[in-house]
Amino acid sequence: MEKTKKFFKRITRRTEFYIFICLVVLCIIVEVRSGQFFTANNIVGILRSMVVPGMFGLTTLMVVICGGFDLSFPAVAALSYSLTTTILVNTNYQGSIALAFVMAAVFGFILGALNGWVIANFKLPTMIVTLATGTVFTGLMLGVFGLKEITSTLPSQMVALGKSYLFEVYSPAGLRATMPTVFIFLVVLAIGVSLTLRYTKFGRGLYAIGGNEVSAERAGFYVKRTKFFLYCIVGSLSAITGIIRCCMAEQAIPAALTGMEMKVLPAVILGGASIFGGEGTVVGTLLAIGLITTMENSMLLLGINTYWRDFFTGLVILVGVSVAAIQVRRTKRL
Amino acid sequence: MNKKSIPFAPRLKDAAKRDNYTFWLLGILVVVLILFPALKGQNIWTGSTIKSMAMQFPEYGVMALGLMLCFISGGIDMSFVSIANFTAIIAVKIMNSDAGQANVIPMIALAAVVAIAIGAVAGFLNGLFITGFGIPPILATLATMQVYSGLSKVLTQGKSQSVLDSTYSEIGHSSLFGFLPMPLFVFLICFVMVAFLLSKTVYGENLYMMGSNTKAAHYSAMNTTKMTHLTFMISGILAAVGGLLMTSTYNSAKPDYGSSYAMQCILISVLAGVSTFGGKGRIQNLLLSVVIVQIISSGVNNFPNINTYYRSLIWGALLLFMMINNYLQESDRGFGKYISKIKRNRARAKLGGEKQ
Repeated sequence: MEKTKKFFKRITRRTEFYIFICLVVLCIIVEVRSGQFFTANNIVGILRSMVVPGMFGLTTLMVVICGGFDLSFPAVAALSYSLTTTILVNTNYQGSIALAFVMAAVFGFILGALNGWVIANFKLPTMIVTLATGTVFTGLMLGVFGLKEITSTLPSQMVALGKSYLFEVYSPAGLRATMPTVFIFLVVLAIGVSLTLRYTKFGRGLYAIGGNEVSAERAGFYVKRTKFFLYCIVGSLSAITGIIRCCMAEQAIPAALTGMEMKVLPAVILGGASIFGGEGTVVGTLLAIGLITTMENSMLLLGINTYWRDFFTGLVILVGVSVAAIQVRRTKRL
Repeated sequence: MNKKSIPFAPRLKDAAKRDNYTFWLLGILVVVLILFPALKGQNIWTGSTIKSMAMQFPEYGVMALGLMLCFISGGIDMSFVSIANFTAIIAVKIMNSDAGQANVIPMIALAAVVAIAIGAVAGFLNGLFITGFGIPPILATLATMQVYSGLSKVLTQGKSQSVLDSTYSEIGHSSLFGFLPMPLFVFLICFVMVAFLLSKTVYGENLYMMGSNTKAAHYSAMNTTKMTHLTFMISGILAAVGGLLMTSTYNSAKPDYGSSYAMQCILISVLAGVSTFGGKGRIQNLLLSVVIVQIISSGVNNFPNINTYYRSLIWGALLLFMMINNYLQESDRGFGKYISKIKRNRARAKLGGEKQ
């Protein structure tokens, strides 16, 4: 009895718990209003929609823990996957999909390196720096390289990956939904990030730098190196996520990911990552992204006009960030 | 702060440091004015070009004024474009509500007043989230940006709202005294008001201090809450004014007009020497930087093979360059050390010369 009491006391202090409660409440509300929420195809559909935002959220989580904000990851991903798919299509590549991933990862690494170089060497506000680099990358993609949409000529391997699924489910009404294979990527990334954050020096360094950069430096962490490496890795992962999105959508549209950063970043904060850095968990991030995705997907079930979608998303983000800020205030007693 | 109460030597050093930036900006202005005609091979600054430039830059110029205030206070406002669009849409709806009737001018006036009022309320809400809940300004304004953008989409169902009566657009394209375009007139009024606020009022003086160190300002019995509210309210009002200017230019309002203005205004502020951490920034530099950015924008327009996407690349790259440059000038390392040494020696020499 004592142990369970302690467990509950410990768990209710965490933000993740409240996000979980919000998620459950939202699911119940949608179920009550539409009666179709807890159908297998709906749940699978939501999980399917969670793959790309979830992966972006995990990379953003690492950046936020380190104390930065990355607003350029959609541009990094878009430029990487546009370049990759354009090159592959122009060379009529039909081989293994691994090359696409590797190429995108390399591009993402280089782009992330620019971010990392500026952020690590100059103490500039990361949000504005990444806003600027994001604009530069978008300008490169659409202006200098002039990359166009690729809709029907995507390499066959990528389309195949997008179409393949782990299992399929049917709802009572006969609606079909498939759990895509790429969901494995999300799971692997989640486990990878979680292990990195907890058990590697790099991961712990992120928490340390986010908590107090000067103390971390004094304690022996190589702040510049860690930050630089972080942004390179985040760039690569964003690029890989971009390729996955292309596979899922079976198209490569350069402008497809714009505005993603405005959804994912507040969602990560919603999930318990502190705005100032030094805190954040994979579970919280996934729950928060799940909450936002569920809300967006449930608009239809709730009978809400799609034009209200952005407004409600913004509202949820506002509420979530307020709650997070109030909690921070309570602990810091400002 | 009475200027005579500050001792002479720091005041001189301060003045040398401050004036340097303005002169540097003037130099950039001259360079940019020469660069584009030189690249093109002919004079591109014709009378009509200048007039169209004078009508373009007020749109984002007034928004940059509001953003500058937020920067100086130590925060940032990312929602101003959404507020501009939102208020513009409401204004257009009001203007269209009884089109074809005789009382056009009063309806326009009403629409403008309502738009500005809503801009003030939106700004106040921003301030409320920042001070009431303690949300960092960047996140609060990112979130409210989504909310207003969403509301705009709901109001317009995604379509653009055209102004049915052409009177508003005609007013917007008219010129006062024969040569002063109306948008420029509006911008100048806003500029003078903000300049007055910053240099001649207690609020303005305190704003710089609050931006430098919010906690110290709070403990110095400054009402930082009220100041934050006021700052974001002014930003909201100026955003609404910018929205009204956009409406007169396009004769319509849409949820996603001016999407590149966020980047442009941040660039203008940083180019003007406004520190994103707060506490710095002179209003005359903002005027120069707005003009410089407009010249670059118009200059790039003259080369048709550079499409519009290049422009965002130029803004982003310029912004990065400016931020790194400002950082290096402030810091004591490497390049910055060299510059600060030169400045110190120069000020010392000047001081030594003055004493004799």
